[in-house]
Amino acid sequence: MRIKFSPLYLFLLVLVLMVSGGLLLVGGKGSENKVVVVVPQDPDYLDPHQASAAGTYEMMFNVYEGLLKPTPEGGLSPAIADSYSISQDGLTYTFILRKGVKFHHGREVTADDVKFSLERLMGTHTGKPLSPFFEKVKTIETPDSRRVIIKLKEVDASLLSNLTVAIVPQDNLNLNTHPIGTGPFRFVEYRPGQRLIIEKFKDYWEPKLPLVDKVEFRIIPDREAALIALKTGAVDIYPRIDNERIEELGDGFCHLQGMQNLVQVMAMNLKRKPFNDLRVRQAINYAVNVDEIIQMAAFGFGTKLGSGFSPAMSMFYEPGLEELYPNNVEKAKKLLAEAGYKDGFRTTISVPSNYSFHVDTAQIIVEQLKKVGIEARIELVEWAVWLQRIYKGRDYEMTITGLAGKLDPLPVLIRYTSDYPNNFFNYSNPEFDILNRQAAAESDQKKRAVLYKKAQRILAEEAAAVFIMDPHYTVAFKENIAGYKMYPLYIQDMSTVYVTE
Amino acid sequence: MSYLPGKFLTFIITLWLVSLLTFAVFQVIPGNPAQIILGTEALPEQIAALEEELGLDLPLHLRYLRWIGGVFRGDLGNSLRFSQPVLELLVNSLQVTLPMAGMALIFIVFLGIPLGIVVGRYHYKKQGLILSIVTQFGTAVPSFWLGILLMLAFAQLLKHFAPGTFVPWEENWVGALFSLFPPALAVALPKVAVLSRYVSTAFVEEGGADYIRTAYAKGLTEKTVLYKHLLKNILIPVTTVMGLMITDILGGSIIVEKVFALPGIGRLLVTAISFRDFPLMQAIALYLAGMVVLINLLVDLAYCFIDPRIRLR
Repeated sequence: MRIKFSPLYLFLLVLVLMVSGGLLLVGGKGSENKVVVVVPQDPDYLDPHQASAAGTYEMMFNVYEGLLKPTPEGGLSPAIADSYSISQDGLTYTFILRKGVKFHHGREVTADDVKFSLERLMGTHTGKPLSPFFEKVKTIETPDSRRVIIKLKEVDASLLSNLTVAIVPQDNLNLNTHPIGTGPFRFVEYRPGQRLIIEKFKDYWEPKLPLVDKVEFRIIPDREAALIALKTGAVDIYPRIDNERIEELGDGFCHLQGMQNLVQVMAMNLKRKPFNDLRVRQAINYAVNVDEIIQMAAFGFGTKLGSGFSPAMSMFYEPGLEELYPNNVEKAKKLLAEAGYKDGFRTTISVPSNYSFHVDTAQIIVEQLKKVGIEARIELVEWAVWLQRIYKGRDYEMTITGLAGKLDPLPVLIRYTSDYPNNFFNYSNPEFDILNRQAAAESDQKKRAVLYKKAQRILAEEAAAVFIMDPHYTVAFKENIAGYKMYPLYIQDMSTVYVTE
Repeated sequence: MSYLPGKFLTFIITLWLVSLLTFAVFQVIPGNPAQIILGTEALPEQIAALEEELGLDLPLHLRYLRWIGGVFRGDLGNSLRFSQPVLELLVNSLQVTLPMAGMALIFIVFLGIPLGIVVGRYHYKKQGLILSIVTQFGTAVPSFWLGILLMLAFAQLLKHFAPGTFVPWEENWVGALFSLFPPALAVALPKVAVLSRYVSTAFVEEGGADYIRTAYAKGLTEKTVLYKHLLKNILIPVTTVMGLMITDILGGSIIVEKVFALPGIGRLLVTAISFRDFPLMQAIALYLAGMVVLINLLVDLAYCFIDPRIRLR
């Protein structure tokens, strides 16, 4: 019998060989003690002092550490520093470094490294500060190799939370290619668009940590693809999964949920008509039904807000403000009529198109505003354009965005002070400005909290914006993953994560 | 023969015009790379400092001259978004896109041409009608939908095809090849349908030609008529379509790469545009333009080879 040898048969043969061969080869995953986390974006800079993207910090939090470290409760705990003391006048901070803290290249951390890192951020030797957070620092002294004394020009209540910045070795300036820190994991490799791998640092000062040998951050921007990757087991942890997709996961998966310390807000350009009229702003606040938005856009997974502050930072949060403007169409219409807009008006809500969550929110708000006679049109804006035209240029009528919270209330509420360069609300209130200035100079945290709570009340009473919600964030992971800790910050802490069998 | 030097000159001029155009477009569209990199928290001083570092504060013409000067020295510059050499990023994503394109091309040729012949042969029969409907459907299917379908199918059937499982070549080349298989299929299938329709139409048209009748009259078998006479003559339109398809798939498929989470040239392009990453965008534009010119050149040469009557001038 003659065997026909046509190209088609050959092709089919190759195909069959490939599939079967591939299955055999990829088959065994190996019993490596490794965790794969899916992240949506590439890091910007691996040098922690140059990096500013939240997506970078989320990963590199495992590699770098500061004198202090954020805790899952939103507080601070000593890291490279073992202890610290603050002088009576609040102007001198003395840090004692922990014994035996090593950099990933093996050398022990000295006070000089701390001084070097902080001065690099302050731009002491270059004249170009890399961070605006250390302007009040006068000098940094290192009496011996384990003591750092920071002297301030004036009291700075948020200094401690800013001292979570990375301490880097003074003998390595190629941090973008060779990141070296003191964290529980050391950097292994970064492939743009693919992955960033870190592995266990054996000389970590907390000898029990970390619990896994290797962590891979796999970069998958597409949410659908990320979900399938989790479902099929290609990745172990999917932080910030869409809330409405959790049920799809079914057996074999767990999830954790919490506030993410984010303020979703609809800003109204306060320099423009009709938003310069308090009655109009209050009317809009009465017209917008936040509970409905939480149900429809966040599937119930959101915490209602009444001011520009999330209850995730409970110590500084003023409760009760979220009930200041209960949904009331009649009252809204009345206020609009008083302001001279009996028949409502036309306006535009500009929304960054890459945030589908904000786009969904805008669509619901458009319907709600219709009921009081306001005709709002949605304008989708590319992120780059949003940043330039709306955020920086303040050229908009209404816009929706999310403002990330911090460990300290100062950077959250400073956004509404009149001389802050990024105050895109155009909000200006001398009383609010004074409260913020007082709070910044107050070293007693309890007294600070009182001032910040007052400030939040002013924002709410003046209807500076429509404060919507803190959307909950959900982490989904495989059943055999345990020890995941949630932070009120954009962080993936991998040090306590472990794999059960 | 002045054909090749002439083509080379056009090649260089095309690339230069493309670079100028890309540069101009990036000046017109709003968006500041430094602002995008630093995000909402950055203060004006920080943005200004980064602009200075990235060289964005220089006058327009200087920025362009600086860039083109670098190109002549073989330096494509650093990406603004990734703070890495552009060339490295380009090479990395081509390691994904080129093999995927190659694989897709194999599918297209080895499935599209035979399918077209079969459809052509059964043109006047019932089977032909059915096949024709199938290929019609194939051309109409959008590749993102096909991509999602394929991804779900592969991910469910064979767990190892999950998206984002692309492994670097040097680590496991079989695994890499393997993970490119479904996306290559997603890229290829609509094109298989298109190509097979071209082939079958040409087949039917040429099938009635005099030389075919003569060939049959000589007493040649159907197979010989098919391969020796008919196929040769339909190669010209097929080559033209193939040329277009190849330039298309070499540019990477933005949608398929997104669906399968592949770090290819399409995804790099999207990042470059959304971050206003001018050096990266320029390099990708040059690559795309270069590819188009090169493939067209190859198609021209192929014409000469297929039909000796065609002369290049």
